[in-house]
Amino acid sequence: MRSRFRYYRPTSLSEALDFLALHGTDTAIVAGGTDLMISARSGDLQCKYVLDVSRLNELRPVAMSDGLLAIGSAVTHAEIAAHPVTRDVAPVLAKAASCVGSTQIRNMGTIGGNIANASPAADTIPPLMVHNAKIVVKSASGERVEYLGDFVRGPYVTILKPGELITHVLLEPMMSGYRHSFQRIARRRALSIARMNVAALGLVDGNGVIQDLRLSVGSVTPRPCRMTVAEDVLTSNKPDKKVFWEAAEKVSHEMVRWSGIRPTTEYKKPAVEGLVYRALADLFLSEG
Amino acid sequence: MSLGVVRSQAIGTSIERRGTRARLRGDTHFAADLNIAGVVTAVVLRSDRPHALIREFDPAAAKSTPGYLGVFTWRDIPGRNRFGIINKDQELLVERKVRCVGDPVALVVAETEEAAQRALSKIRVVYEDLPAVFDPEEALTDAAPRIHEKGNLLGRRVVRRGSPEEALKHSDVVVERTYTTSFVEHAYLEPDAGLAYIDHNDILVVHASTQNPHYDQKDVADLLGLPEDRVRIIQEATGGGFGSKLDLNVQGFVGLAAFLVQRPVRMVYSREEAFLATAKRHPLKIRYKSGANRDGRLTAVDVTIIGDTGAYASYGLAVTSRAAVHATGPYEVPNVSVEAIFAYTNNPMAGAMRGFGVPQMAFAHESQMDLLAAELGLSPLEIRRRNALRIGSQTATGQYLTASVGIGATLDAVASRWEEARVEKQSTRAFVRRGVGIASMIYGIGNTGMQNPSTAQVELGRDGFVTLYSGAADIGQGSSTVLVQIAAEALGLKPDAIRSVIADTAHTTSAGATSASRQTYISGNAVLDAATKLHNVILTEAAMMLKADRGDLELRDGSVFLRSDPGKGVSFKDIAERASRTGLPLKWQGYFDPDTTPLDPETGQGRPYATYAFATHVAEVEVDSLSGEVRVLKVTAAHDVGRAINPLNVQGQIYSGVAMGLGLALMEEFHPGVTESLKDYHIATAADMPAVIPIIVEDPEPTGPFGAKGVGEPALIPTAPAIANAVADALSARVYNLPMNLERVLKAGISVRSAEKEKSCQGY
Repeated sequence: MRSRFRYYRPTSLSEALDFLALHGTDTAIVAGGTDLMISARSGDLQCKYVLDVSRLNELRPVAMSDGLLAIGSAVTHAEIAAHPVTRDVAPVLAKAASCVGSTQIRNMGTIGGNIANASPAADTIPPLMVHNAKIVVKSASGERVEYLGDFVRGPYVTILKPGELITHVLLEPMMSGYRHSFQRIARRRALSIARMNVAALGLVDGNGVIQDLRLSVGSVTPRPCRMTVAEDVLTSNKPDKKVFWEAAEKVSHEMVRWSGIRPTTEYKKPAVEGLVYRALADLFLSEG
Repeated sequence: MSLGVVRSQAIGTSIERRGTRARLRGDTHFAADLNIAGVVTAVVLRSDRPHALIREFDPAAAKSTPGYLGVFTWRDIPGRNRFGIINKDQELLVERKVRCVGDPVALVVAETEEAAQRALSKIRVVYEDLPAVFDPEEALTDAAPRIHEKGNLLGRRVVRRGSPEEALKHSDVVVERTYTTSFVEHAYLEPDAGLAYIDHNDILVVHASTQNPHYDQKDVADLLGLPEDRVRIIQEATGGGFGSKLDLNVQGFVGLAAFLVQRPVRMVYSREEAFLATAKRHPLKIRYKSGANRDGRLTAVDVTIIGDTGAYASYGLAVTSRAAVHATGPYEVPNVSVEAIFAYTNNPMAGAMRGFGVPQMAFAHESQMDLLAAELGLSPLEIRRRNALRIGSQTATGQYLTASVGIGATLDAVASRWEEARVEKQSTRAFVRRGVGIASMIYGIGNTGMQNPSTAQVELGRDGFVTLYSGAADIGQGSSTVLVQIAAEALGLKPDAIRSVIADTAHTTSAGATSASRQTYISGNAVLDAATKLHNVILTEAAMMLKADRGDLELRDGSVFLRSDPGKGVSFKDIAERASRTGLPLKWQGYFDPDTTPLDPETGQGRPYATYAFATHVAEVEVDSLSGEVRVLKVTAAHDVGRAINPLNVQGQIYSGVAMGLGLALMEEFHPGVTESLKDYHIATAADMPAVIPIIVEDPEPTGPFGAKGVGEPALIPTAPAIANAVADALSARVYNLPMNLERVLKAGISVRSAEKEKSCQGY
């Protein structure tokens, strides 16, 4: 049976926060609904109210502020994929957003929803991780800022408390000279949840040595993280295939260390190595 | 009876499919769109246990639900609580025990869908779980729990010819492999729906999304204990069926509910319910041993097929027979041993699905052909050419093929693309490998070794217009258009000038099921028979009215003209008026049953089909050995359809067949108890589609209407094996299980990947 609830659409952020202050424990927040509608359809969604924040202008900016890129939580994947600012300073995120679901889903789904849902397969999370993203959370009583890696505690679990709302994310912009790559594996070419995904940023200095390398892999660890063991292998080295494979093996090792050997490991181990290799090759060996 | 002279261009013309514009405008009414005053909703309480006795059933709490109208169990069924297209082994509402998850336990009727669901949630059922079995081989062991009283064996089909054991012993090469395929969901666009009411003549009318209205009529009448003429089935516009809508899905439920509450009742399956409660494609396990000699000719095959029909038979026996009969593929094989054994399990029911087991068999026989080719040092194209059936060949069942054997022509038709693709296939990216695969198929048109006639009527009305009456359900494949084209050709009319009445049991007679790619050939012939009779009556009348020789007459655009004096003629309207005065009937019946014989139960020898369709596909793929992803770039698909009545429609079937075949090959897998809906079941999207190059080969079938055979199922059959062979070509390693998902492809490609890795790292 479908879930039953009352639907509210506040007209301002303060109204939304006041509502949450009162009803936070009984409320599910909807920003695009691409996950919530599934649980409402199956009846798994159990709440008294659904608060729709998707049309709050305060949650919809995309702008540079104090040297950081601020993206409102109700900005859709389609907007992130197309926006000149995201494409300029966070192209790996724009690319990832363009791979989410389908046109219809990208038109509805939002970055805030993607983060709050905290699926291990979320396409925007690895790019946000390589941008050292921080999540800005507001409530009627104040504001806090958390790194994404701390904000998500496990599959579908965050530290968002009743009464709180993600208002925006803050990203370090990609500096000039950096290269970027987003890669994903899925069971088909559209409308498919990522089997795993990788975001990478890399900078090579004048001597052809990797100066900075940031790598995050989705669906292989219970919480979003940067693959520092692999980053360390790459940094201060010249990009070459041997090093790429070495880094890729570090990632799969890390995956097994976190999650243990599971029935899916037979696939996921070579696949994550392959995908990391693909991202690194794309980063450093492809033209443009 | 033969046709006189007509002037028409109805055959071979890509006229617009009937109903296309209405569908594009959104005007078409599907069963779920129907709404009449006072309609109430029925929902089904389904088992959540795979095998259990119903110990207690307590609907008391449901009765207080606002809008509640009734909860019904098997005890409320007035007729015979048994149905099924071949074996009557299904209960509309189970009596004693459930045999699979999704089995119907009770029917709940309420004023609204919401009220019905609410009432349903309050029913208390106490089950006593029984041991369950989910593997067909295990189900056939003595220790297995018994699912049906008659035991767990559904059926067995043997095809035997020559001395296969001896021939294999003396073959130059022998290849033996085991192949498996998975449960597959039809995933038609329109989930099942229906509406039933009792009309002012006390007739139970059921509007439904169905492939088989005349069968529905019989089973619904039986369930309700009504004479058949008290039940009328009207097929509504149907958004795909692919075999699943051959079963009685909602028809029995809405019929029973309307009968019991005496109100109009509707029922619409959610996508989840369609996944849970309707038939699936049979998963097959195929052990296949083939032998060949150095000359490249097949010597023998020895095949064992194990099928899982789930909890009920549905079309399982048809799949058993068809899989066995088609096991040798479109090749001459002098020595044959095939045994197909199908068992009941506590899995969801498997039934008819586009191809009836042949897509699964083609995956096996076409993989075998490539393996043999490699052993013999022949190209995959060449080994197929050397073994292809031709006129004069005998099939595995001993049938001599005398005409319309276009397999060789389909191989010729794809040959240039095959050669080019093999030259072009260099990969442009590291670890991404290109592959080219070829696969062929044979498909018998119509039901296997049994009568499966069709009937039709063609009537000239007093207004001079011709109306076609056919019971053939058009479920999107275009039969209504094709049948009209056939009638038009026979009567010298433009297809647009013909009205049609389709798939309403009150106004049409049985055309048999829309299945087995049979409507163009079988119903087409019935229509042609009726139209030919009317044609001759029109000629006779016109000859009298024009005082002319019949041989000098020509039917054209609704009139009969003198060929020697084209200005002189008489219209169909004048003919109709005269005939009605003289009492001459102008509604004529046509009948056609293909020339088949039953198969010998011991040897499977006989003439299972009157004619066969043939096809060959070439698939070009790109395989990423880093991830296991496969991208199909192009499929070149040559089909011998006898004669394309409507070429665009044939092409449409080919496009859709490739889409479905691609899904079967790469991504479609239904896991009982796990897969719920399209959220976790992947069918190909537009983004997954390759370029499709359809090639129509026309080797006319002398017994077909204007030479036509069929293409509905053939369109799908070679795609998956062609992709499998292309993946094997790319990876130099083969996947023996469908679908070739990420996991299987990555595993198969691990050694080419390691080799490339080694090589690429050496440079540093």
